[in-house]
Amino acid sequence: MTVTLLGKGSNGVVSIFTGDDDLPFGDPLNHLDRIKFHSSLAYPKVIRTETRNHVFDSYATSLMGTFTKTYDLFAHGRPGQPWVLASATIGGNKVAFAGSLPVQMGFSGSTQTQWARWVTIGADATHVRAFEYVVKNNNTSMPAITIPLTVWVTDELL
Amino acid sequence: MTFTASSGRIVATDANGDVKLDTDEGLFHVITSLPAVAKDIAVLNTSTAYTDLTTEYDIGACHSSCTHVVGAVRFSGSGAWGVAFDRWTTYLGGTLVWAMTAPGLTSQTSGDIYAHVHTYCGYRFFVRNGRVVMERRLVMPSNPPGVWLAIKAHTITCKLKAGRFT
Repeated sequence: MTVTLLGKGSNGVVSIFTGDDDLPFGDPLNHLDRIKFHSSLAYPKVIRTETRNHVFDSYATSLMGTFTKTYDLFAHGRPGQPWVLASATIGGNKVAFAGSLPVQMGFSGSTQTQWARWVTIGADATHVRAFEYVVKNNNTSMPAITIPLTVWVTDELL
Repeated sequence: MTFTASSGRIVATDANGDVKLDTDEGLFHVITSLPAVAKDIAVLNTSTAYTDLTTEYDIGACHSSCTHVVGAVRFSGSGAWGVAFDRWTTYLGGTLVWAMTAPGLTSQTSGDIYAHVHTYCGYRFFVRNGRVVMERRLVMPSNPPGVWLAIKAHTITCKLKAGRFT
């Protein structure tokens, strides 16, 4: 398959595309299946990577119900609200934060689970934060958990 | 930076030898940046019947070639429910759990998860025919005697982008 790199100084457009004609260069949206890169489209780029072991709090036995908590991870320093990506190392495996990530679940030895914790991650105008949602009954305490996190801050502002 | 073009393939590497662009790999192209939109979700009370709903909300138009939705969403409203209440949460696919409650949550016994999780509300986003869609999945039990439950009213603000890999 032919791959073409074409750039025009007159309009500042650069593109890499496949095929035997230049149609994707001038009309990328109608030839997206042939586009490898086009300067008129956006490509999120990771501009900062942060790693840390974050401690998610314990819950006392007496607590029962659903609980939410916010943890500030770091100030991102971007001039707006960036799109951030992240992964958590759970059971030795790196798992992407795609939707709500179940990170902890416990049994008391009976037939029913006593608690569970989900975590999501996000950024506002100033900070990257992690959020947890805990569901718990009052049969047992829920221990804290330390989770290695990797956060990638992209140049994409929302 | 090294740039090579041969055999129908273009590869650019940086000074450390890390590949920065390889046309044999698929890049994610962000094609449509949707305007921010807020969806108000009304309170939903339990009734005498079991509640089992799948509800779709239109978020906006995107290019018809888009296949993936990314971005961030923010849940707000009455009551501190959900994983990311009143905070921005990254969306990279998957399902965001807004509420999940149960007497025992889950069970070790095979199949009992369906019996013990009595309330669940989650959201996910997808692209269909050039539209970005938010789907709510909601399950609640019927009213126990003298008790009723509700998924409280809430608002979901979306800042989403649609794109595709090629």
